[in-house]
Amino acid sequence: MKKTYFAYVLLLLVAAACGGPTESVERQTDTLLLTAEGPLYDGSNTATYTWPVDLNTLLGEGYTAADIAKARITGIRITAVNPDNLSLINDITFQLAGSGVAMQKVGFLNPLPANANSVDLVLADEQKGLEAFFGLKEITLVADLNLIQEFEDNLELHAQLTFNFDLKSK
Amino acid sequence: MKKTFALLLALTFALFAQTDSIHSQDAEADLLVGVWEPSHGRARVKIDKIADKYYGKIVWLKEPNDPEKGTPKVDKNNPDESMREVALKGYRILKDFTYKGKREWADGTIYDPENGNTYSCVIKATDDNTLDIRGYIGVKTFGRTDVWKRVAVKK
Repeated sequence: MKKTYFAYVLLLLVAAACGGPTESVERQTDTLLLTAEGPLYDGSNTATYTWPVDLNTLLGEGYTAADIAKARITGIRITAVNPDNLSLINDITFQLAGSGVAMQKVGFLNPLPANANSVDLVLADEQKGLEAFFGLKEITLVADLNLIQEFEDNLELHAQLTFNFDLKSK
Repeated sequence: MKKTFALLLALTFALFAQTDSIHSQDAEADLLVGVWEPSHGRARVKIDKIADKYYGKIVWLKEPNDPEKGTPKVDKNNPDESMREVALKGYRILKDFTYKGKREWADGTIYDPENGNTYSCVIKATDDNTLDIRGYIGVKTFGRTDVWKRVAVKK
């Protein structure tokens, strides 16, 4: 009896040491507007957007970065504000950047399909420590674009990101 | 009254001097921005500033196509297999550099597409148009330095 009791206590201690149970949720951002300021030359250009991190909107009231055990991007959809402009882009590489956190490449598409209105990027298998970004005030979204031809104006893209969060149980 | 006036004057001078120093520090930090060519001359890297850090991407390749396939080069040596079709043109090989003063940028990494390895890296400007790029693993002493030249020379 004593042995069973001790084994039970030990099991509880091990479970507690492992960080406790987590809840997995999937959340999609609003449509975010990335801009590459023109005039743009053919070849490599960059569109960016500074995304103010608001966990209350993304996860619900009362959540902080400390509640996120793990974060992972499960979807990146890119749409050109002017649909014709997507055909100017040969390929896209998508990164997250932020103060005090190393830039991380999370998706790409090479080449973009012809005549597409929107594209879903191929996602990186290895996504390390993405949760650190959610402790920042803002995340910079960086889309590197190889353009097929010159473009006089600003090039604007809409991005919608889907994240999977493992949340620590409260 | 005279003392207060003198104090105000001194404070104003100090404020101007500090603002001036911040501006000159920013200008010195942005010396890194531009297009640079490594010593091998097979690529050109454009360094720009995103938020508060510096990043460099390949904007020109002497041989843009894979000699075997005849298609544009991709990051075929990336340790993450899912990312091996990323185009090398536009690839960010320098990441996350912050300015440390005295014409030195640190805390960043450099990626070598030839072998898929990422190294810690420090950058030192030896003059307005020359950079010493030192890649290393662990300790700075055990590394390799390459000299990069600015493509459009700053006068």
